[in-house]
Formats: sequence, structure tokens, C-alpha cells
Amino acid sequence: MKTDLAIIGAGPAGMAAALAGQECGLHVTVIDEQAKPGGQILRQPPKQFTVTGWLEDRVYREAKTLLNQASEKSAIIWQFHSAVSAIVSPGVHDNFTLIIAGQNGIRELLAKRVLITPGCFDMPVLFPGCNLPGVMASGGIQAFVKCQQLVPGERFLFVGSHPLQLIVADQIVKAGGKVAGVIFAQSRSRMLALLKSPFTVLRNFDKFAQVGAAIGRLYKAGVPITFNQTIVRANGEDILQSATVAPIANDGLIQKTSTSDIKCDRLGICFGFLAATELAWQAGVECIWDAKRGGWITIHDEWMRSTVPGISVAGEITAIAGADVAALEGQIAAYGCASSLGSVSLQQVEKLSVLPRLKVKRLRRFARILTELSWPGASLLDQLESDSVNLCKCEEVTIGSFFRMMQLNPHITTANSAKLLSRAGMGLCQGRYCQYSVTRLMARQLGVSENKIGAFTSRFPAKAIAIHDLLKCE
Amino acid sequence: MKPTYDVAVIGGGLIGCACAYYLSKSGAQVVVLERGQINQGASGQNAGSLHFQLEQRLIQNIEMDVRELEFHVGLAKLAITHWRSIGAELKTDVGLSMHGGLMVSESPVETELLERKLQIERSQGLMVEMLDGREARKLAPFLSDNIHAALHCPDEGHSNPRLLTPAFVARATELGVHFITGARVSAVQRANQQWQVTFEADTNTGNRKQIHCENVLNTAGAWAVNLHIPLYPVGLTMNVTEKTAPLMPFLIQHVARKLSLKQTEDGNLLIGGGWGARLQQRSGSWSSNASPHFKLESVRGNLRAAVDVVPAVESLRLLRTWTGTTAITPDLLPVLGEVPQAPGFFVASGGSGFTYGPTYAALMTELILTGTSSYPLDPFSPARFSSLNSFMGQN
Repeated sequence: MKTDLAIIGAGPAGMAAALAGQECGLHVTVIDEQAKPGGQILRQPPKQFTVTGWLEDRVYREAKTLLNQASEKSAIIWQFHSAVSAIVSPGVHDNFTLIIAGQNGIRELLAKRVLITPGCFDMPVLFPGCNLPGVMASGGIQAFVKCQQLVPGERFLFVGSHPLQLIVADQIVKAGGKVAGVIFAQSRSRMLALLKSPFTVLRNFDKFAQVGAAIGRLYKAGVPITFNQTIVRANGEDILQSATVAPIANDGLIQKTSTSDIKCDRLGICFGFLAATELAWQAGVECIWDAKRGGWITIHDEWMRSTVPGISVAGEITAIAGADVAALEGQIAAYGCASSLGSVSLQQVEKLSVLPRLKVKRLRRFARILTELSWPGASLLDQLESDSVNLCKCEEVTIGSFFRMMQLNPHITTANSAKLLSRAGMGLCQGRYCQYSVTRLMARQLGVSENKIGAFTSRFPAKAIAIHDLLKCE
Repeated sequence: MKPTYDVAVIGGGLIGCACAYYLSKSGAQVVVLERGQINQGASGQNAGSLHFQLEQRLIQNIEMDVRELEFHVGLAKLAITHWRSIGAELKTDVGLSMHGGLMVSESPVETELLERKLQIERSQGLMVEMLDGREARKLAPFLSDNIHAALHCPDEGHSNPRLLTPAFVARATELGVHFITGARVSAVQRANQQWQVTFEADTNTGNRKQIHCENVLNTAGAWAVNLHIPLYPVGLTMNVTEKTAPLMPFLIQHVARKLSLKQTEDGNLLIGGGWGARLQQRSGSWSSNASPHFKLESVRGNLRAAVDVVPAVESLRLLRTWTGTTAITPDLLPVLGEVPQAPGFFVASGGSGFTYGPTYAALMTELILTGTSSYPLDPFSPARFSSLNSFMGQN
């Protein structure tokens, strides 16, 4: 199989890029793990389900319009239930080879240009008890509710620093679930700082309206929203039974002596998001560290071209900024690819990109403020750490044993050599869970920048593949 | 001026770090210069097999190479003794498992090759035993019905490449060896009866440093510099599956196919055997430090061989394929010894470096300190490539 532009990910960035690329005359193929387009923001219900009033809020309107437009374009080739395991750079041939794991084995796709738009995932935060069954990523909880109206638990508690937890809590309440509380690490005034600029509010009215309405409904449902508080421990024998929370003083220190326990069987963690850069790394794309905007994020130029010629990037992997920015970046990236392949002139795409670029600039400003305000802060993450907590869940490497490894091996100064010696990052998740913490801890302990610590070498397959499937050709 | 060190070791891989340990144990002042991180190259990237039987790659022209092969088997016997004592010597668990290995054949023709190999190995006193298919399956019930015969070597096994080199580093550090990482050697020159090694201490600032030493030991593998030492970087592929219940205590190899297969303590299966990977090119030449590109056909070929020999592999998931770079010589044998054109300049590189690394290091230490070694290294001497350096104008 061959295509001009292979787009990895059918979220807002992928959908917008597919539309723009197709309009410019490119043969476009979109690959996604899910059964339908939409990405995380528009997690679609499965065929067998009828969800009335699916994502009716105004905030989803633009993305849904995009979804409808993209779905109707018959010229776009969609490959669902498909995970890109590797992007192989051109060797003797001019094309990239995408190795794709589907339901019936492995197949290859040759592409002249590749656009990586894998989105993001919830930032794992390490605290005692964080590996207990029942402790979940808020994004994971949201996926259940969004697409199936399924409430995966009895009594939810949300803790974190990102306003998304208000939306998820509200969606749980709407779907008939019980929420014991929503806890923010920041002060109320810090969260309200978002409202300071009237321009920001006006330009992002839908988002503020969604959060405002969510707060209103949570208030009505009697769900307490508290500030200056944090999770310190999740409790339970084999499964979560309660969460211990503690106040945070003005100097940022957790008051571990005045804790209280809140009963819950589901704990939603919501401290922000990490860019899913593993495929980009694997393809040789250069990334830089930005603790607040996604951890390792990709470097790109004005056409969203990465440091690897022929590979472009868009959306959350260029810095966490939400669906609107992602869609615009996807559009610009597709224009860039189209002009470099000669299907349209540079002049034409320059013209087409004026408005999207302007919008990105404006939206990015808001996104920057949001990520700044919702970042939990290194001090809080440091205080939550405990030697007995697993740094790497897959290989069960504790923070304590990782530190001991560093102490005994002072020559270990990169994430990769630490991975080799400690096994952290060698498991089933390929380091998605521990990479952020490993990088941060090493940089802190060694007193160097995260960029010096570097990332884990990302390997084939991006996600584990059944050997039976690998030996079979689709 | 008196030189600062007796030996400057270039390369912080297994052979370099083990040499540093044995040299300093004998009282030498040693510095190790590593351009990246310790154990970052082939020493940490290989799959940790301890193969004492003659490997598939060495017996391609078995009748032509009998003498070399006999010499190799002698070395294997030394290495077996060495490995048995290594945990105690290093006071560290290096994941050593010596529960035996089976080299399998799938046809009568392949079994003939096993038998020929057995003769050579037995002639040198290596403990090996021929099993027919039924006997092999009795010992190793996980083997496929296709297995025609197997050569059993009870000493084979595996150790953990992640842990071995760091253990040598820890003990060597205690003995006073200096390890300098991030040190890129840019020149090695002879001046005033000693060697002067110039390196860039920090590649970002170009900060240059020099050390003086009696001897230089270049263990930099694919990264050997200066003289013409015919070492070529090659890319290799290794595969690791998800963890599974204890399945096989043995190292499994194939007499005619590229396959090595074993289970780690953690439960993962490691599958390798010499399948190629594509070296990256940087500014027109092969890059030895960029991770080679994996090749799907290598991954598939390797896994196909594994499934044919151990069918249970098919039901597992492939966790990761990793690639690494190693160095080979034209005759696939290691290069160990002093370069005739450059007295005091030693080379130790290539050739089953993990299985034999500690033994090579111990023998090289003897050679450097006394001028001779308890097991002759002559067949591996760089002197065999002397013709290449006779035009170099070295003194």
C-alpha cells in the first residue's frame, strides 16, 4: 500500500490534516487504534450503543463539525483498529515505511510524508498507594463516561491541579455517579487568575462557560470543591477504600500532620498531560523538555515539520494545548506537506495558512496560561514521593531502589543508561508511565537539565504485538 | 616526566572495565576513558548468552578452520572456570545462570554438522553430549517435534549484561581506577618514551585534556581509532517477549539457523542469534553510535526460527526489538594483543565479547604486565593484520 501523506492519529489534528491534505490533492491515509475517528476528545460510542445527547456541550461543537466533515470525505482512506508500531525512515527507497499492527496481523504502508499526531495521556503522579486498583487517570474515567455513559465506580474522588477534573466530575454526576469531592492543589485565587484578562475570557468563552456550568452543577449536587489540598496516600488492602488528603500551606509545604480520610472506591488523578512522543522519538525526531507542557515535546518549524525531513508533527506532541490548537496545527502541517510534494504552490498554502496561524497564536497564549496555572509544581511532586512507591509499575522498580542504583553507579547520567541498569522503562508500557518521573528525578538528583538526562531510546514495537500476528501478513 | 598512569584504557565496555579491574588488582595505575556512558555499547546491548559450544557463525567452513576452532574450544574451557568464580570475585549478583545449553538440529544433514562439531569439542576436552530428538525433548519438553538432535553442553547459560560491566566498575573504583565518562579520545601519540592520549573532556566546550601513560589499551570495539585494525561495525537485532512462567532453564541455539533463545530471571524470553540491523549513515560514513535501524525481515526471521524450535513462543507478545552495534573482524575472531608497529599499544576487541570478555581481560592483563599470557593469544594477535600497518609509517 502507498500513500502521499500518512497521518497517525484520527483526533482533531489528524482529521483537520486529512481534510486539508485531501483538498490540496494529496492521497491521504489516516491510521488510528480506535474504531472511529474523533480521538480522545470525541471518543465515539461503539456501534452497538446508542448514547442520547452524546457530547452536547458547546465546547465540542467545533470538533464535531470537523468530525462530520472528515467522515463524509470518501477520498480519505481510514485505517482503524490499527496501531503504528514503527516508522522506518527511507533507506534505498524514497518512502517511509509504516509498520502497522491491525486485527489480522502486520502490514506495511509506504508514505511520502508522515504526520504524527498521537495526542497525549494523563500525567502519572507518584504517591503512596498510587498503584492500588481503583486509582485511575481522570482521562481514563472520562473515556468510560464519554463514549458509553458508563460510570466505572461507586464513589469518586478527584484530586489534582488541572481544571479538567471539574468536567469529568460533572460528567460522572450527569451519568448518575456519586462524587465525594474535587480537590485542587492550588489556591482558589490562582485558579481565578485565569479570569483576569477579559480578552482571554471572551476568546475562550465556550471553555469558561463549560467549566462554569460544571461548577454550578457540582455545587447543586452538593459536591465539595476544595483548594490548597492534595492527595498524600491512597488506602486499601487489595483495592482502594479511601484517600488521605492534607492541606498545603502558603509556603507550598504539605501539612502531613493534619490529614483527613475521604471514603471512595475510585480516585481520579488529574495533574495535567504528557505528550505521546514515543513514535516521534523512534523516528529520530528531536524533542525538548518542557515540564509544564507535556514533558518531552517535539521541535518543529513554521510548517510543523520536525527535525527529520519528511516527518511533520501536530497537536499535543508539540506542547499540550487542546483540541482547537491541534486541529489548526494539523491543517498547517498538511499544507506544508502538500506544498513540499508540489501538489500546491507555496504561495497558495501561505495564503491558506494566514488565518489558522493567527488563531494558533491566540489560542496558544491561553493554553500557555492554562498549563502554567494547572502545573502542580515540582515541589508538590517531590513531597509526594516515597521510597516504597513504584517508579516503574511494569518492572516494579521502586523510587528507593532507583536512588540506590544512582548512588552505587555515579557514572550513570542519562535516562537510557539508568533504564539499562534499573529496568525502569523496560516493561510493557515502554516507559510511557515512568519516563517523566525518571527524567525529572535524575535531573534533580544530578543537578543538571532534563535535556542532558535525555529520553529512553524508543523501540519497535511502540506497543507490544502478539508474535503470532507478527509472523502473519495481512 | 613520569607518566601518570601505567595503562590508559580506551572504552568503558565490558573488556575495558574488566581489564581495568584486573590491572589495578595487580597493582597498576589505570584510567578508563569512555566517550559516552559506561556499558552503553555492545557490552550492555547484547543478550547475555554464555555459549561455550562452537557457535553457528564459527562453523560455516568447519573443515577449513579446525585449528582455530580447537584453539577457541580451549578458550571456552578457561571461560567456564572463570564464570564459575565471577560472582564471588565481584561480590555482586550478575544474574549468572549456568544450567546448560542445547544446540539443536532439524534434519539429518544438520545433525551431521553437530556430530563433526562434537568431535572437535571433545578433542579439546569440552563437556558435550549428543542427544537424539526424543532424548532432547525428554530433557527439554518445550522443544518442537521437528527437533532431530541436540548437542547438550551442561556449562552453558547466560548472565546479565546490564549488571556485569557495572559490577567490574564498582570493584575497580574501589581499587582506585579513574573512570572518565564523556571523554572523546582525539589523539594517541608516542612522545618521550610514553604515550600521550588527548581527549575532549566535554564535547560541548571542546575542553581538551591530555594524559600520559606507559601503555594504551584500546577496547573501543567498533570505535577503535588510529591504526588500521580491521574492525567493522555491524548492526544486530535482539527481541524480548513479555514475561511468562518459567519455561526453559537452558540456552537454546541452532546449528544451522541464526538463533539464540533463553529465559531471564524476570521471566522474559530473549531471542537473538545474529540477525542484522541497518547501520545509520552520518555524513557519508557508517555511524557507530547511532542506534541501527531495525529491519522487519530480521525480526520476523528471528521469531520464525524461535517458534520453529520452541512453539510456545508463538503465543507470547513481542515487547521490544532492540538493535545494537558490535565490531567484527574479517575472520570473525577477536583481536587481542600488542600492535607490532606500536609497542605499548594494545588492542582488545571483537568476537563473542560477552561470553569471553572477562577471560580476554584477565589474559590481556597478563600480557600487558608481563609480556606473556598463560593461554597463548597469538592466533588472535593484531599481528595477523600487520601487512595493513606496514605502510603507516608508525615507529
